[in-house]
Amino acid sequence: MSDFSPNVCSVRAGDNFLQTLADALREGLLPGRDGARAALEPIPLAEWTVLLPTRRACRAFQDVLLRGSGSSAVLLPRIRPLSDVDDQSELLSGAVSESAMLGAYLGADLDAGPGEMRVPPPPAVPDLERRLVLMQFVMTWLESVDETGDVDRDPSMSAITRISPAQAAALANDLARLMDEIEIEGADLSRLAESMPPEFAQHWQRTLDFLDVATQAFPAYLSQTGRTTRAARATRLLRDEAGRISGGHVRRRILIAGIASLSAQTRPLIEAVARFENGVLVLPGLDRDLDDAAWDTLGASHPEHPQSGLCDVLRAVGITRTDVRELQTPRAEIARYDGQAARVRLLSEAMRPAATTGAWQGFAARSDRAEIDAALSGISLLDAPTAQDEADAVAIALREALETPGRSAALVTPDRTLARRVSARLAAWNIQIDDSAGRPLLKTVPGTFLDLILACFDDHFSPRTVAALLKHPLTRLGLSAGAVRRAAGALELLAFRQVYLGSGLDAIRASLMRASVSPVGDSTIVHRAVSRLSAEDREAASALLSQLEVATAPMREIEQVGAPVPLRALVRAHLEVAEALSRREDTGEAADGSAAQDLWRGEAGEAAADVLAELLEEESADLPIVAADYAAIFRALIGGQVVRPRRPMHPRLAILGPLEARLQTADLIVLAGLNDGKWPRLANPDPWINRPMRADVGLPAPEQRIGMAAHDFVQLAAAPRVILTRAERIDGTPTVPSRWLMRIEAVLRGVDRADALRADPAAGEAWLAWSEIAGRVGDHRPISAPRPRPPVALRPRRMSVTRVESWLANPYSVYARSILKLSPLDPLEAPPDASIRGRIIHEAVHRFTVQYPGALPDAAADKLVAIADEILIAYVAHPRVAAFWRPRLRRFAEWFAQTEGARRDGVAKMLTEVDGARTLSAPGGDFTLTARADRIDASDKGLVIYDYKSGTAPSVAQVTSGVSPQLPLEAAIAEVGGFDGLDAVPVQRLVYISAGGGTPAGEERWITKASPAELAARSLASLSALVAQYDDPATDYRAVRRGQFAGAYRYDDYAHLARVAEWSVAEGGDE
Amino acid sequence: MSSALTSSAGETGVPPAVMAETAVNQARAAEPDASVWVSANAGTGKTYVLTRRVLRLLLAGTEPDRLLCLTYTNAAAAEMSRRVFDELAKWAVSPPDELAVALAALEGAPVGDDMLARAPTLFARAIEAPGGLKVQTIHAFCERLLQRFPLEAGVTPEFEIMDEDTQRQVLRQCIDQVLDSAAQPGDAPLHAALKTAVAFAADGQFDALLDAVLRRRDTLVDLLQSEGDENAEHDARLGGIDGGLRARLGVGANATQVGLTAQQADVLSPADARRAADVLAEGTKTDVARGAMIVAVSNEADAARQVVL
Repeated sequence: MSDFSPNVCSVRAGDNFLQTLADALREGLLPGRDGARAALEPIPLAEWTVLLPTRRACRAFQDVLLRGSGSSAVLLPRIRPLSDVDDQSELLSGAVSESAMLGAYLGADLDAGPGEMRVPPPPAVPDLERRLVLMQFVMTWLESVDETGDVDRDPSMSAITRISPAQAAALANDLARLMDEIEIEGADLSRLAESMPPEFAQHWQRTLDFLDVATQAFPAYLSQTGRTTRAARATRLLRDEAGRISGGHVRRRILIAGIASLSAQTRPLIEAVARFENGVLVLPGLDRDLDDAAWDTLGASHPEHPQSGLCDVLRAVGITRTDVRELQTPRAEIARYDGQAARVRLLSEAMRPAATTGAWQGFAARSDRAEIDAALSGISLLDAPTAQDEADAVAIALREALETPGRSAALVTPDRTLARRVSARLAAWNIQIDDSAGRPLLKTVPGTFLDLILACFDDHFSPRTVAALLKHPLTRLGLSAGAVRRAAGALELLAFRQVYLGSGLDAIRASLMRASVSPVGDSTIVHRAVSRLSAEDREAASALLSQLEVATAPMREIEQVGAPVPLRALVRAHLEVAEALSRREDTGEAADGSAAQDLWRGEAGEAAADVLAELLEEESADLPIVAADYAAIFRALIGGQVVRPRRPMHPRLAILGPLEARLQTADLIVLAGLNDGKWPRLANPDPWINRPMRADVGLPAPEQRIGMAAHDFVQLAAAPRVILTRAERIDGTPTVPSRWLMRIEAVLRGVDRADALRADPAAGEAWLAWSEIAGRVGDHRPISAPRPRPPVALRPRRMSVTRVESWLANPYSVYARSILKLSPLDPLEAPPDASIRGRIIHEAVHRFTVQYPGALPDAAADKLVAIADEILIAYVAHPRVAAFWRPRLRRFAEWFAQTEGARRDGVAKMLTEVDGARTLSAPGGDFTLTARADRIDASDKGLVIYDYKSGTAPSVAQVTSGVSPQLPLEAAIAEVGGFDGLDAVPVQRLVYISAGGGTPAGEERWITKASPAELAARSLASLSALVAQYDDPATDYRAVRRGQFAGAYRYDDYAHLARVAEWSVAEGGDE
Repeated sequence: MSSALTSSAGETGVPPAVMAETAVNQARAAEPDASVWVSANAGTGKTYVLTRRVLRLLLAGTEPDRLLCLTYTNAAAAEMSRRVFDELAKWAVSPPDELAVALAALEGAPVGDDMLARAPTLFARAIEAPGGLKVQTIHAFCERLLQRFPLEAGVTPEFEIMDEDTQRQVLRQCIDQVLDSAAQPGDAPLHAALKTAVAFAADGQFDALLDAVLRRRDTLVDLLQSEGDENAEHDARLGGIDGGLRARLGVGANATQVGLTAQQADVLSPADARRAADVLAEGTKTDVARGAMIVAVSNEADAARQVVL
């Protein structure tokens, strides 16, 4: 062990860390021990090994070095990442696995100590295997809980044992994280049992049992297979290396830079390098403003303080702040901005440890206001009303930065949604900039494709999921892009845009077969879009479905087996399905499987291929699971995968997460999403161990992460130009500002600068106002109700009595339906609806009447039900038809059988579903009124005209007043002998029969207020007037909402087309 | 005291005596030693009282992480945090003399040196309280509780809360599944239940009905369990509900609808009712209609009475 003091220096907050470090290395400016220069001549870069906290920082450092070397060739130092203890911990392990031993990795291969035999640590278990094995252990544990009968004693356990393998996968992920944290922090779970308070012993015993998976079962598995975890391997390698450095076996120069905290894992190496004669530690932004008394409280009692990690480092190395030298380079000195020192001082004051904030009073009393103003000169705060406003304003600020040539800008935020919004905003200005924090694999194009395949199985090939899969850009099924899209469109029209029953691919096939045959026997229901499809389109749709059946066969076969199969088999089937679905058309060129290229192309495609390949190779993928659980397991296993862009997409702009931003800088830094709970992120409650237990086993307080985030924040906030932003409301919910913002604002309030941080629109900081202008629409004039006036020649000369009702209620519907000939498509997967129910009832009563025209048969109700069942059978697969329609039909049938005798009394002739017409003369030529009467009974007293209503029948008042003229108009047709098979006979009565089957089950409503003849005359007169009115070219088919027709608008198919919502508000609804 | 922490009731044109009484009540409600139930109209200063209570608790030395404030809405939680932090921030940087005045106003008496020393640090200590100063909605609190104790609660760690759309979808799927089995003919109770229900509600109405029932499922389960033996037959337990309802409404076990109608009719004697109807018949159009209604009701009651007799 050497006896000189550690060589530690710091780069000032606000200086460009990596640039300063590069300059110092290149120009030999790194301070040597005792203040002396390390060397008069710069040491060649290649002799250095530089360890930086993240991989990204390594890349950035390399770029800085290359940029600085101009055109001359240069040998770079070895630059390696030394991960921090955080989500990026795999970076370290990833780096370590690149070489078998860290010795070689550090470049100390030249000088292994004589006679020293170093046993390499065992290889690390791959991450995926670890999660799969843990998952199996978790499931075994759950089963054992079942067997011990714990469930009987404690009902709460039953829910746990019902956990699916997918949930077990999530539990395994949690356990893996905990195990890593324990390894990195050098904690010991076995201390847990001792620290357990006895009164809770029984309760915690279960947790302990569960944690045995981590403490016993998994380590046993590792030692059996002769391996270790990545984290444990890294610990071992770092410790070995630290030993070699301390033992004097390393001659290279080693620099650890940018480390702002310490873990049990990194501690030995950091200590060794600090004491190593050729070792240097360069810290980021050591705080020299905080008073010593406050500094001394850092560490364990204030883990949330930005400098606590650095304080730990200094203590570990055994020095104080005064022993740390400032790293100065000429470039850094030139680059410093006015007020940098003041800004750093202000930030330090604002972040002061909570227990010492009594000092703020004094700070407020004595601080120099001019200095405060200098500190605030380059930093401003923007409170946006909503998250969208925040994104818009940030995008504008970034865009503005580009106006100055050479200026760089970075958005740093932990909020990925915000990042996506900003990136979309910038894309609108043709600035392509990806979020460097990456996208979850499942949200990428190949990810959604793989996921949609699983979704199809999840919801049994429901139309909406199948339609989504067939329209996915990767879906080709051996066809050209155009052909597959066209066939998918035809399939959708034929099979999905109608009443849909059942599930699975068979249901799609059945629906396709049914496409042109209506079970009610009424083929006029087919939509024009369907009837227009060519024979080729229909064939293509059918062929596409066959292709889909073939392509999905591998997974369907496994699904049908039902029994558990090895995970591997499911992965393989998934892969086969994906490749079959994405197979391109056969062009005869490449027969080498290049067909699946598209799927595995690009960063996301390669990531997906990697993860699937890994799953296939995994021995532990023998885990038996049932097909139904596969989707959730797949999502749990690859859900955490993030696809990051390999290279920054824009030379001057960047969108970064706080981790990516560590040690980075830009001319303009935007720190966005500064709300409580978001930044810093609130520590999630740990499901296994609570706060005191963490301390007992040697894990750091959850607030340590907050301290590290705070350090990142302060370093970034010290940049020359900084914009801090937050949204006052997110999804309509008011937010609380980030704790750091509140601290800064509190301190500023004390020095009478309460609002000085706010962005000042007058000083060129009007980003919000600008984004508002960018999004502003000119004067908004709501449109008025449409009033189309088509030529009289195009207006209908023929109309059914039911259409007349909608003509009265809303002329626009006549225009849209009869003149434009538009009709709405059914929604995807439409359930059987009221109109079908109406048709079924009509059809059933019609058939019954035809079958039993005279006296009622015995058990008439049963016979009617039997007839109805013949029709219903097509729909009975739908649970609601079986549950509601049949019982209600039965109730109606009973009522009908009971009352039908009276209706038939004295009737000579009964006609059902009878067509009729009557021609009116009008200014524009003859106009034909048509009708299909549900039922007309003829007796010597005259005709009785019936109409069956499955819903609510119109009231007598509605009929009498002319709002519902259907029956009066039918009477008008009947009285001139307009119905087939009936002479001109006076109409005796008009009757509605409600056939709802509810309470009451049926009801007759006689229209008795006026005589049928009088009603007929009146309705005919009104209709003639209406026809005449519309024979005037000046009359428009306006869209209206009339109070007395309120009920008619509930099913207005053209409300959207007529933009009713827009003008009905403005006009106050009524005419 | 020139404090922004004022009750919004202060700006209304309320008489001084009422204001004074309100102030006294508010001060009593903010007394940290007392357990208090405050019921007051919107805008009369409930949040103000709660904020003062929190401030006084903190001032008295309660650790910020030992406080839990539950609200019903996110907006209320955010508002309360804002007010607490706002006041604490002021304490953090006020000159000592101003601080003393503010604290005395809050406590209703001059405060000691310990409080004067503690007050300025409370802002940062509340901000840095482990897990934050817990002012949250009851939903957020429950969610966190479940996340903390998944094994105990029998829920999956890392569970997510369903959004309303998914909730509706899942509910519909469940209803369809139950309907599927209920529609199977036979004498299963479920089938019988469906037959009963279908006369009153189908399709959309049925979903709405079930939704209403599910919202009160705890009450219904209680009723089923309290009024009938858990192992009793289905009908017996429904009988239990019937009994429960009768007890609740104060209706005898043997009372029938007809009997009750007659009972109600006896509130007025037939003669009184006729007289009232006659008087009303002289009045306005509405009165005449009401008179007719009384006559109709009396007639029905007469009929009912005859049945009972």
